[in-house]
Amino acid sequence: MTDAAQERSIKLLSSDNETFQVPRNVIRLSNTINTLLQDLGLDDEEDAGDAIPVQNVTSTILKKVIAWCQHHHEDPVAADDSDSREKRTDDISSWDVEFLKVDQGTLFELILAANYLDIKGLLDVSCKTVANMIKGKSPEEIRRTFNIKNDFTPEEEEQIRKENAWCED
Amino acid sequence: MIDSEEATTSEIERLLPNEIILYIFSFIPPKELVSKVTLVCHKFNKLLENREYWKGKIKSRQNVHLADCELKHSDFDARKSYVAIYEQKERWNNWENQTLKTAFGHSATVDSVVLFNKNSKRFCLSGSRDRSIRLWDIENIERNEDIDGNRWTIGINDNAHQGWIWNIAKDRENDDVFYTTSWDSTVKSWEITESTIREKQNVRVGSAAQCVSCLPETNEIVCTTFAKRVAVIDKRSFAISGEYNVHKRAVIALAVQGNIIYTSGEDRLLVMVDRRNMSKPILLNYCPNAYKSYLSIHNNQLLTATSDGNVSIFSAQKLSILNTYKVGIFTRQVIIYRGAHLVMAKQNRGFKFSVHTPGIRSSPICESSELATEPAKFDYLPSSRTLAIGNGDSSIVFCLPRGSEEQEEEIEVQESQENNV
Repeated sequence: MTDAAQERSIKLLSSDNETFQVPRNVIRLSNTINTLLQDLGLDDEEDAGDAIPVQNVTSTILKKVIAWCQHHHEDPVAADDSDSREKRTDDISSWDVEFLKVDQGTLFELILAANYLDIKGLLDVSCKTVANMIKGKSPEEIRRTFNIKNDFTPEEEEQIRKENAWCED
Repeated sequence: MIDSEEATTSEIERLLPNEIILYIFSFIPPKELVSKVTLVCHKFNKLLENREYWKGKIKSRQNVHLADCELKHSDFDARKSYVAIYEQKERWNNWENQTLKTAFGHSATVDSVVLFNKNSKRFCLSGSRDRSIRLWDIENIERNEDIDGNRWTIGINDNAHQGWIWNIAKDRENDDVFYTTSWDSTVKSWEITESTIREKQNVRVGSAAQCVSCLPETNEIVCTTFAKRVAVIDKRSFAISGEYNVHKRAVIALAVQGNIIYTSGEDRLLVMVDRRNMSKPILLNYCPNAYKSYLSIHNNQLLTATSDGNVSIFSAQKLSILNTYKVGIFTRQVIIYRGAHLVMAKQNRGFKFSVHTPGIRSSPICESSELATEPAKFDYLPSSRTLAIGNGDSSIVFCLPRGSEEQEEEIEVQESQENNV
C-alpha cells in the first residue's frame, strides 16, 4: 500500500447524523466497510466522497469503535482461529480491559456495532468481557450481574437441575 | 404496557440477539453452561436446550464426526457428548501436566484395575498374579505419602484365588460387590466390608477364567474362559445358567450391551450373541490378519484393540467397521467413552498410552511418553479424571489431574515472568 493510500480517509455517518473522518488504514479492520468500498468501487478513488451511513450505530458508540480500531489497526493479523482448541478469555490486553470498562448498555452496543461492522477483534474481546462476567458465577449471581429476572417457577428450576445433574459429577 | 415490560427486562436480553448471546456462551466452559447458565432464565435455558446447537458445535468446534449408530442410540445426548469431548480435551491437553503416583503393594503383575466412586469418594480395586486383591483410597494417594495414618491400601485379601487373577468387574447395582476371574478356573463374588474384602460365592467354570462383565438386563454375570467357553452365571445362586462354545480357541475379550454379548478369541473371531437365545450367534466377524485383544462398548459402538496395532470401531448392531486407525504394532487395550477413545499400544520399543477423539474420524488428542514399565491393564474414571495403570513390575501408576490450586500457582508464576519481560 502506498503512503497516499494509507493517508486516504473515509467518512462515516452515524445513525444520529454525525460525520467521522477515519483513515482508510484504520477502518480496514471492518470487513463490512471493506466489502462496501470494494463493491461500490470506491476504494481507488482519491476523494473520500460522500459519508458512508452506518445504520444502527450511534455517534457515541462509533467514536469508541474508531478509537479501538485506531489503537489496533497495526496489530499483526490474528491467525485463523478455526482449530479446535478451546477459546480462552484470560488473554485480553490491559488496554482493552481499560477500554471496555464501560456500563453494560455501552458494552452491548459495542458488541452490536462490532458485529454489524464485522470487526472480529473487537467482537471477540467485547464478548469475552461479557463471558468473564458470567464465568464462575452461580445462576443467582449471574442474574444479579445482568439484572435478569428469575422467570422460573421453583418446580421448573428443580426440573432443570435434575435433568442436568449428570454434569455435576 | 410494552414500556413497563421493557423496563423489567435486562439490557442483555433486550439488546442482544440470540446468535450473539450464543457467541458469548462459546467462551464459557460447557459444563458451566449446562450446570449454571441454563438456570438463569427461560431465554438462556431455551438457547442451551437446543440440541442442534450442541450437535453443530460437536462438528464445528470439536471437529468430531459421530457415528450414525451413536446418534440413534436412546442414550445419545448432544450436550452430554459435547461436554464429555470438551472435558476429555481439557483433561488430556498435556500428558506432562498431571501428577503421577506410583503405588506398591502387589508382588507380581497387576492384570486388573477398576476405578469407582462411592459416596463421592474415589477408590481403585486391583487384582494381581500374586493372587491378592487390594482396595486403594485415591484421596489418600493424592494427599500424602503412603505412611501410617494415610495408608494407600485400605483393604486387602491376600489369598483371594489359587492362581493369577485376570479380571475384576464391579457390580452395577451394589457399590460394595465385585467379581473376579482367575487362572484357578473360578469366578468369585466379593463384598467390600468395613474391615475386609470378604468372599461371597464362587463357581468353577472348567478352565482358566479370563474376562468378566455384568449383564444389565438379567441378574447375571458373564465370563470367558481359555477353553473356548463363554459362561453366564446367575448372581444369586452363583451357578452357570447359560453358555456358548462358538470359539475355537481361548476367549480373551468381552463386552456387553443390554442383552447382547460380544466376545473375541485367539481364533480371530468376533462373536455377537443374544443372551435370550444363545444357541446360535447373531453375527460373526472373522479377521484373517489379527485377533482382537480387547473390546469396549458405548452407545452402539464397539471399539476393538487389534493384535496388529490398530483400533477399529464397529457398529455394534451390524458388526460393520466404521473406522480403523493405527496406534502401534500391538494394541493391548481400548476404552470408549462418550468423550474419547483411550488406547494402550506397544510401539516399536515400549508402550504408550494415547487419547483420541470419539466418532468415525478419530484424531489424536494426547500421547504419553514411552511408559517406564510395561503396562498390563488400565482403567479411567471420567468423573474423577483419574487414570490407573496396572503394571508388569507389580506397581500401579495413578495419573491424577493437577489440582486447581497447583494450576493457579503455575499461571501466577507465568504471569509474573511475563511481567518481568
